[in-house]
Amino acid sequence: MRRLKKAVRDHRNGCFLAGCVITGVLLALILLGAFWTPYDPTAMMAGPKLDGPSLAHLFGTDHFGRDIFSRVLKGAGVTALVAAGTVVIGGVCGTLIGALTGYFGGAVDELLMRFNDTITAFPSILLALVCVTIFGSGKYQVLLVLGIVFIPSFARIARTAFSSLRDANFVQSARLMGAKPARILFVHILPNTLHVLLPAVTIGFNNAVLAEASMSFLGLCGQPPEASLGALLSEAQGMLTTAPWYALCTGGMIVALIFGVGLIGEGLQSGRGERNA
Amino acid sequence: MKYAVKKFLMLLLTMVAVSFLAFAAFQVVAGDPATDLLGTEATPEKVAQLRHEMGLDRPFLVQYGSWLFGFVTGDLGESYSGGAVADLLAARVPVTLMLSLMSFALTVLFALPLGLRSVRYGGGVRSAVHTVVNQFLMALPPFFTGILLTWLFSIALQWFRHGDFPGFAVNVGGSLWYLLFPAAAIAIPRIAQTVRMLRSTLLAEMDKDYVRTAIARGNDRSGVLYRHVLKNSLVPVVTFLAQTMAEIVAGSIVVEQVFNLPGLGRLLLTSIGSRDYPTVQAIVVILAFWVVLANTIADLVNRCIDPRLGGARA
Amino acid sequence: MLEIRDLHVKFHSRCREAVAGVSLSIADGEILGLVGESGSGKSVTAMSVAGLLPRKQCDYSGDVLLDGADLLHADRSALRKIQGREIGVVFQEPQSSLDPVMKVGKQVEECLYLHTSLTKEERRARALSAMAAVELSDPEVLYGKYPHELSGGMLQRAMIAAAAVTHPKLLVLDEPTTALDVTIQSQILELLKKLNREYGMSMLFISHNLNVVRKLSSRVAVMQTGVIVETGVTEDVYANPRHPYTKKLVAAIPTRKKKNF
Repeated sequence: MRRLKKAVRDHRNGCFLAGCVITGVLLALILLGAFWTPYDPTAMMAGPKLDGPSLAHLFGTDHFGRDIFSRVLKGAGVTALVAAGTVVIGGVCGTLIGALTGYFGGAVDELLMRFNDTITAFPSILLALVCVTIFGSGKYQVLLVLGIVFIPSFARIARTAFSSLRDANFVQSARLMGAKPARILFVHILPNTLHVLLPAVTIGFNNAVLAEASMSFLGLCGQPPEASLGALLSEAQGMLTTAPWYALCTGGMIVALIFGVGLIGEGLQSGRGERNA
Repeated sequence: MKYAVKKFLMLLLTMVAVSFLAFAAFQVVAGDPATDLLGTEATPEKVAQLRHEMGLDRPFLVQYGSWLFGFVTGDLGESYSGGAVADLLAARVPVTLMLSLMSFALTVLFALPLGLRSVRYGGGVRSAVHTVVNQFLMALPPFFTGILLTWLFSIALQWFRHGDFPGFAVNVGGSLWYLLFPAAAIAIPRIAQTVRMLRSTLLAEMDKDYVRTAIARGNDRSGVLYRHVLKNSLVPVVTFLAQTMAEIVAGSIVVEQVFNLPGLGRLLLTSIGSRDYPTVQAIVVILAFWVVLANTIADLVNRCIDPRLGGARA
Repeated sequence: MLEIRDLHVKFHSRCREAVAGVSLSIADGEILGLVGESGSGKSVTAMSVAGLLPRKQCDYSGDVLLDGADLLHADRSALRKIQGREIGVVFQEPQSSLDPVMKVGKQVEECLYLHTSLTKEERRARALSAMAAVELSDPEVLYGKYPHELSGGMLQRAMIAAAAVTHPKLLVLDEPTTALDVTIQSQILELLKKLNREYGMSMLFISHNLNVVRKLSSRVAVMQTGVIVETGVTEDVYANPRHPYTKKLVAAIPTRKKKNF
């Protein structure tokens, strides 16, 4: 937390600030899009067909005359929701598992880590693709699947961080003072692992955006009325010759989302570097 | 040599574990293929008969054993859509393999020199610009880059014809040329990530004591960098590159779709769509083997680079 | 031979000057001991002599002359020709000061590679004889070993061999024995004496340990908070310290007499 405050205070940390601005603007747009969009994203003939970007249609219109800006706002909402949900599920479960196995060690730790090693042989999107065939496709199913698929990577990071602090002096002294394991884990160790966990959350969020967009691009989640950015992009690819702005604006939105959060992560990490220097 | 043998055994063990996991998972996922296959004609007698013919009434481990034996000997089972899975895969493996290798080669070819160069920006504006550009490139999803490349090189410049992959059997040169674009789409964010990783490793290594010794002996910048720091930084970089291989495989699944490539990724998607589990299972296991193999190679390479890894662990 | 005149070094990150007007000289074949507590500026002085000051992170002024050649203000390329050829440096921690992934022999001969046009075989022969000169047994075997396979004492010998392989005029030794066991410490000191005798190498020997300096050096300079408070012939300084800080240092040396049992 202290590092977060320092990163905010430190004006030289341009990455962090720029990332916050980009992400903030996008979040504001997405929140806005959840309640209000300039046009009904699914309404055909909201404007002329295949119209390039203009003041009336910021991102232009597609071949049905739908307003792309409205569609992108809604789509970004779905993508961001799934990515955030993924990070929450993966982050909370992963950190919990990593914290417990890292702190207590033992046979369970060994076993879980071996399992973790085996699981990481499967690229996460591959796992997600296969899982979707079990749970079915749809944004909440994809959210759940990605969340589960992301648990091992968070668990690994948390485990390393927690096990390295298990025998630190301040933990030993807390133990001597009679602190219970739960208190040691979450009051004493957890704050000291944030410098590793927070950047991991930003990286995880970006991977989740990428995974969700990939999967919806492949048509494995989000049915047409709830099209996420990936599904829009796949639709846009078909109109590449007639409406290149569609692909550009949709893809640009994905890039902006990842870029903004990536800069925040970079800022968090470089804040750490300066502190150590 | 002893180490290599040991690593090879570990590789086999991991592969068995990986394939077991996949096999077990698909047992759960697939439900009862006999019922599915028979569809509306399913009567308990017919199902039981088909289950017996397909060997589904045998114990689980026996089924796994015979599947694994088949896998090793090249018999990947029968696709539900008819035909041997092995035949389906044979035509597609080279495409995905070549695509992955080309992206990997691009990644290494660009990332290493760029990373080494980036160390010179000690701080200030150039370093900031470098960081921002790098973060931006990292944010480019392969499927979006793929679309942009299609737009630029296929529609605008007409350097290649999108959707018209000649195939290795017909035209090797043309196929490689076509693959260059999807390979670049996959490689760009990987290059940026590798550069970032290499740069931070090199910079951390530059602070070590032995660098001071090297300077005191009269090494110049490149002497310090190439003779000492680079080799010391390679171990985490090689490990990272092996993980990159996994990401490249994942990226190729999606990018094959963008570029209409007849590779494993496309087959995987159609098989998932038609619930053709034997094919899906075979592809999943092959891709996982590919990743495990990359990790093992990385371990072996690292052992050659860093003598300290040998004595302590082997 | 080595002449330091009014050296000032101030790091940007600190308010106080690390070295505040140090003047020293070392004659040909002389061993000068530089003693002081940690933070007294002795290491920074040594780094200035070895051309290892992080120039961008500090302000510096004064002169450091090696046979008339300026080391403090020389540009990097000129400095590189002197480093390793005319000045050899030995650091405190041999384990971390040697490149972990380069064979010991290759590191010993690196200065030859950089500064001479000897062939590979000649370099190897010179490296082997330098390793023999620092009393490393079995140089042929050790040549092909990696640093993690050797003990601390052996590594420090290799480190000295690497610094001395070009027969430099000056050897800068920055606490070379601090990280070693006491028995190995005295062996290394004997070795340094021998090198000094046989090759006539001058040495700047830095230590916080008065006893060690006493065994080795003919002249000693005592540093405190960036300035030299006392300098003179070693035995005189020990027998008759004038500056209060030196007196404290000498009084702090444990002697057998003080033990009452």
